Amino acid sequence: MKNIIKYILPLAVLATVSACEKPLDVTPYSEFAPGNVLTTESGIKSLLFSAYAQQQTQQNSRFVINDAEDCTDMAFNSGGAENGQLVQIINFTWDANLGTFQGDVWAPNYRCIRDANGVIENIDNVNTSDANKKLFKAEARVLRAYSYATLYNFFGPVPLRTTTTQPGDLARATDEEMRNFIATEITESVADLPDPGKEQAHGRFNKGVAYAILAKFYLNTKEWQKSADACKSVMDLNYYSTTQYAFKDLFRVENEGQTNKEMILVLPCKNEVDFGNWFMAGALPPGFKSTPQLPEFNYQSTMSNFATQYRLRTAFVNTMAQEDKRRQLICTSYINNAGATVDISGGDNPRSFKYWDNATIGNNSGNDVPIYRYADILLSRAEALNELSATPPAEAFTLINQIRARAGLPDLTQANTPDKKSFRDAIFRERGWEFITEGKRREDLIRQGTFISSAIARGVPAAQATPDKVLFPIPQSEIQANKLCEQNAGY
Amino acid sequence: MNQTVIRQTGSRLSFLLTLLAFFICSALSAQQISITGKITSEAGEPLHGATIRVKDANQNTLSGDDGTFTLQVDNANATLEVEYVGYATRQIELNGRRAVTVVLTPAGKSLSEVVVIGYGSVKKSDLTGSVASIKADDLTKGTNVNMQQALQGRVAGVQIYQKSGEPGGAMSVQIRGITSITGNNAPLYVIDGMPVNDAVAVGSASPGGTTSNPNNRNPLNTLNPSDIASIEILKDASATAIYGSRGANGVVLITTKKGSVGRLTVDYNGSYGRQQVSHTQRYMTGDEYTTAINGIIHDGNLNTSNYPEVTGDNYNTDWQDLLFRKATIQSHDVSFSGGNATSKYYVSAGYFGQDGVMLNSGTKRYNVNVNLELSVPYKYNVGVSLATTYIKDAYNATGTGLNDNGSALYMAQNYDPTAPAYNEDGSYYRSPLMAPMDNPLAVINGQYSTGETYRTFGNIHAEYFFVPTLSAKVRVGADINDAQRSFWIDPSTLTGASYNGYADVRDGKRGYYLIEGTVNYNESFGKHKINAVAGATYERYTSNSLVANARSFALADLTYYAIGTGDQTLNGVSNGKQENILISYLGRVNYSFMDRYLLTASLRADGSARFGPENKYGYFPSAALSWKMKQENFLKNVEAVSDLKLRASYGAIGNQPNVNYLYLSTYSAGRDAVFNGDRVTSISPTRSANVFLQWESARQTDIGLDFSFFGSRLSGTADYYNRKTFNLLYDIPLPLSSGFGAQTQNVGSMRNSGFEFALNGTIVDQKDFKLDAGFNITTLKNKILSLGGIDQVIGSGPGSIGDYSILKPGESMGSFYGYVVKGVWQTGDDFSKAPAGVRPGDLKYLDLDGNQVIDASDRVILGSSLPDYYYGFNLNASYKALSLNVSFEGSHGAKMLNSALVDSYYPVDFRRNKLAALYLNRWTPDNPTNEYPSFIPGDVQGLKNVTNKTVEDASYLRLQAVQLSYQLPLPENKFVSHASVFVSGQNLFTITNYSGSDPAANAVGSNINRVDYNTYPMTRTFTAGLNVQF
Repeated sequence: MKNIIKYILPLAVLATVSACEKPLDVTPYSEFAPGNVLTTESGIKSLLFSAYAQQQTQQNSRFVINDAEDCTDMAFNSGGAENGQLVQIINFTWDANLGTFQGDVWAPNYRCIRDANGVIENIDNVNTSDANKKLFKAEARVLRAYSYATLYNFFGPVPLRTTTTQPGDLARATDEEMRNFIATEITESVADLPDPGKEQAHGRFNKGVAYAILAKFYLNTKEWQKSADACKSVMDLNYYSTTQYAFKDLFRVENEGQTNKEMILVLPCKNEVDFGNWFMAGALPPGFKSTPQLPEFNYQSTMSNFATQYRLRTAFVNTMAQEDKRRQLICTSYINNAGATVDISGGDNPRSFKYWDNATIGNNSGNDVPIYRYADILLSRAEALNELSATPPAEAFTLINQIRARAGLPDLTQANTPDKKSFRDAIFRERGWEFITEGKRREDLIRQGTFISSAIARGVPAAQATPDKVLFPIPQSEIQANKLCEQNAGY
Repeated sequence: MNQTVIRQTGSRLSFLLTLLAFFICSALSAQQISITGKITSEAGEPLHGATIRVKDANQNTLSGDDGTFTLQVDNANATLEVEYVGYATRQIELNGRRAVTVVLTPAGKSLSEVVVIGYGSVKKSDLTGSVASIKADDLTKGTNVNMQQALQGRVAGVQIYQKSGEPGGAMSVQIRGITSITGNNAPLYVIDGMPVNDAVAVGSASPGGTTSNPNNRNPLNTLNPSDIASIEILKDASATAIYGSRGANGVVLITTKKGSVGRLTVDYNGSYGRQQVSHTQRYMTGDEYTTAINGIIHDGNLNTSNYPEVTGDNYNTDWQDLLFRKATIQSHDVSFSGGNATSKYYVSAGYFGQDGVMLNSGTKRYNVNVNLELSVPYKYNVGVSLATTYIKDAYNATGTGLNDNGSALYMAQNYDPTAPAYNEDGSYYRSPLMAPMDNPLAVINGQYSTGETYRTFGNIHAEYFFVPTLSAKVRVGADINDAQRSFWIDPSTLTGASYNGYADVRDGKRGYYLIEGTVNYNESFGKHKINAVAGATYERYTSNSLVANARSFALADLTYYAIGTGDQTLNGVSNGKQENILISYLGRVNYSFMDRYLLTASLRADGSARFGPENKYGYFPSAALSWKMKQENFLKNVEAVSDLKLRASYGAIGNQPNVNYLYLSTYSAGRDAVFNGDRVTSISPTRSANVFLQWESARQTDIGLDFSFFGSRLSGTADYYNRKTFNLLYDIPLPLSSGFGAQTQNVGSMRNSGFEFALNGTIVDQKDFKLDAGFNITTLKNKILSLGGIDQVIGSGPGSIGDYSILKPGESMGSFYGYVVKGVWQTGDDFSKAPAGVRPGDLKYLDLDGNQVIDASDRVILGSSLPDYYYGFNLNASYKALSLNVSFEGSHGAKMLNSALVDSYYPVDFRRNKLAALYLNRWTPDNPTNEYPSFIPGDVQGLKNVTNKTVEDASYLRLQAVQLSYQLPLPENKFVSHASVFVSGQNLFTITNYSGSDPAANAVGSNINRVDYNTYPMTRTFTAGLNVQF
């Protein structure tokens, strides 16, 4: 016995160190090897879908909307934790540390860019058909361009990452590089995208989406002819329509999907955690029970009603004609839990009820957030055509009147809108009424040149509403981590 | 055997073989002399089972039942060493005698104790490193769920606090400060020679958007504190470097109770007690609330459609009180122990049950422990140490979060106090103005989870002595932690109603497997003494997880016990599996010359699977010198000095990341895309991999003095420590434009330095009256030396607190970063210097850059969460059969963010309830205080959340525990040998200026920055109990 122990023990000591073949190699059982992801059709498609998923920031959409509206004549906010950020948007005191710039805009768009780059640089090695290679590459390029267009809208030119191997320190592109890149990438890819309705799954990019991105990008950079042309390309697809639904039904959950010919691109929302549209929880006024203005909205106590209040400015709502059907989605009076009727038409307190959903669960409503609507394309072409002509051309009237007709408003005519200036004013008014709570007001006012002046007119001190504020600051985290990235002037 | 392995182990193999050869050559032969003798106690009782050994030779024996022994020696002048557990070892010089009687005296708290160190043990007098040793009797008395509670305030250099009053809740244990920014800062725990895997099996989660509690229950709750015989805390590099990569935060060696020679002894310890909330934060009553809120509406002339007035019936509901209760705590432990000359056993069974002082929370532990040892001294030693435990935890909605994601306590503190708790029909009342918060009672009753943990850890070891001076030892062990946690959100809550019931079941398994081989060598050559150990270990860590959830139950009665009955189309499932391997080689030599000069040198090489091919191995050497000054001639005869020893050590210790696979570029499941209205899975890069990732390394210097005066009546230790951590593991923020948030890199360095001082004294030592006192204090200075080229990193707090912390070279870890409130704008102030739109009654902030906007550039450092010093003291008094133990602990200079103040100064909603002190003394034109603002909504300066008002000083002194016990006088009998009864109180009072729930609270996961965020309240406990020995 003892002798056996004598031999076993030293052997056991040595055996300890020779336990397996490659002692320190471990397998990450639940993670995929890059080789399998980047060379197979299902792998690269999953990576492409991640690029889509990063861009579909359902839950953050409320901040993207409020960031672009609370600094304008349209919207206002009070109360709740979100007000801690939004009060800075309202008062033009935002700085590079404001979390929403990073969390809701910068980071998700760059994650989309990262994954799109992964698709683009590996697509040639993927074992799939040439048709698929072309399609995936075109989708990835347009997704990437779209993310850059969004970043450009908020921050101006940004670091242009086109591969996954660029170093962390990367300077911002010049304005010209940025604009060329976005335009070229889309223009070159359009041919490889399917016609609207022909995409493999609704929500994946098609020609209509690509032209719409281009049209809006050109519009915001005031390349009027190119914008008008891109709008025309959307119209010439003969797919979209503004006459399918009444305005108030455009945003209903039951009218979502491929059948809705108004929506060119949306953030597709579901009434589920992480995929919901949270706007309605902020728009509901305190103690809301029901409103006679929208009897079909059946509020349940399981629907969240946030402490923070997403409000519309009274002066803005008052510019809308009483007969404007878009008022049907603005709540100015409601019945609270105590059964009392509360008038919220004054005091910058009306609410946008564009995203009401009887199936809301907690915070999460299923209403898609429109990014590009056909109405936007028509109004954009009208705006571009007006800018290109000495006096508003007839087509511009036709375009804007399609939108006004749906809203139940009389046509604009040469008589009441005779010149370029008055037509421009009319376009911007119309855009305001049409796109409440769709996050377009900031870019519209900037294009119109009234973003700063209207803030000062509202009482924001000129020391705060400085001209530099037309661009938001690059998030501080980027400035700190990317040594070549310079901050925007004034921050 | 694999080629690589041979290459790696080659040099060590040859070392082992040389040692072996050396011993085979040392054969012995000499003439034998027979010695007889008897071993007795001071009272003359024979001691059975004492080891009698011939010094520097092979022979040994044990004393028999009558205490006698017979032994053959080679030399008539040999020296005998007599050892007996619990008694001081004696050396007897024979000087030609053939018969001796040896009287042993009980071992006191002297330097002659044997102290467990890594991979061995040494006499306390031979220690070269900084090691604190605590026997079971010296742990804080009371009913403790885990051993860390019993260690609070007991050891210099060790800061322990319980982060909340949640039963079995997380503990923060830091030895000599903070080593790492994103690595691990908890010490390594080693139970009976086996490192335990301190990771939780099921991590924190907030399924279904319920409140998330980042503080998991303490994994060491599975170890019954009453099974602990002693705890050794290794603090300096000399002591910890033998644990290499896991030694940077110190090592806690736990030795469980073993049997001792003698007849069967049966011990029963039982206690039963009551707990209550020790401090409740004072929110406004319904009456106060009505007056304050309506007063502010009136003062501010507020639009009542946005700021509705408080009207209607006032129920004066004390919501916090509705969630609290008085709760029981009890424990029962039975142990059986005994042994004979060759075998010793200790088996125990225990039960611990603690109900929480908040509804629907508690913990129960059932455990069994077995320690068996078969040994013939200097021949062989085989043993098993095994503990198996079942824990059942009940969790209520405790944690951090905001609004509907807040905890039940968050809602109780914020809820309208004029509202009733229930409707007339008995259903929960919900105030529409409190949305999206739910009724606090609905949440505490309807959002809960239960956890079941099965954990078994133990090891078997076998040691064989080739000769008395050389042995080989093998240890094989495992730590299997299998846990399941089940969450339920009942349809009676708002969240649960939106799902129509939500169940989530999480299964987690943690495995840890150890094989360890060591060779021990002990030899004396005249004045030289060598004690060496060399060995190798292989350790494998595994984890598996499985998560399944379901919602929308047709019939919700079965909660999480039937998740298959939910709407199948809404089920969710995920899982994961990971592993890590650590291969190590270790060696240590203790050399002593003339028993005066001691040298210890150690080296550990650790190979970890957490690093890339280039950096898998790290090398952690240490050296220590110690001078036993008492042995020198100039002190030998100085009566007053009983012992004096100077120590100095230096060494490198390491730290590895907490996370596996950081060097690997892989892809994992990404965010779902939505196409055609359906969710579609995607795959995205898992991480920004760092192939160059390497060991974080700390170099620690320690200089210490151990002293003992006046016949050991006054003894103590003083140490200076200085630990510099290099290659800090840190999640470096990447440019977000890369698509990644951070990458774990090795950057920068930090230093922890300070003094430790511990003093123990026997003040009175008479036959009937004894009084001992102990005191310890530790100073701590932490400084970030470099962040590798990064100027500063600002961190974000829980809930909606936003930016709150800063890392900056030159500053301490745990620094808060925010605004300075100078006072309140008064009616007569010069408003031309104020930010535009500021009104009288708004807070006046320090405008650092004078640009009349209070923005991010006006922030300053508001202090650190780390204390300047912490301390403890305790008194033990006994008079005849009565004894009293009192222990205090305290901390000075630490700061804490108090979220109750944040919520009151910067309310999420005007109509929520607030801290009474602030709102009842608010600024009005008639009360132009500089202390509190007017609280009229619309301060254009926005929510500043982190200020010198909300970051408070959390210094405190606490009466941690008092125990009074009485040893019952027993008539002579055969059954009961000892019986005592006791009463004890824990957390009896706290002296502090901190206004929140408790100055030692910390509701966030990090133990670096401290935030009191709706902390589960601390408890005050009174227990009574009984100890009986049969």
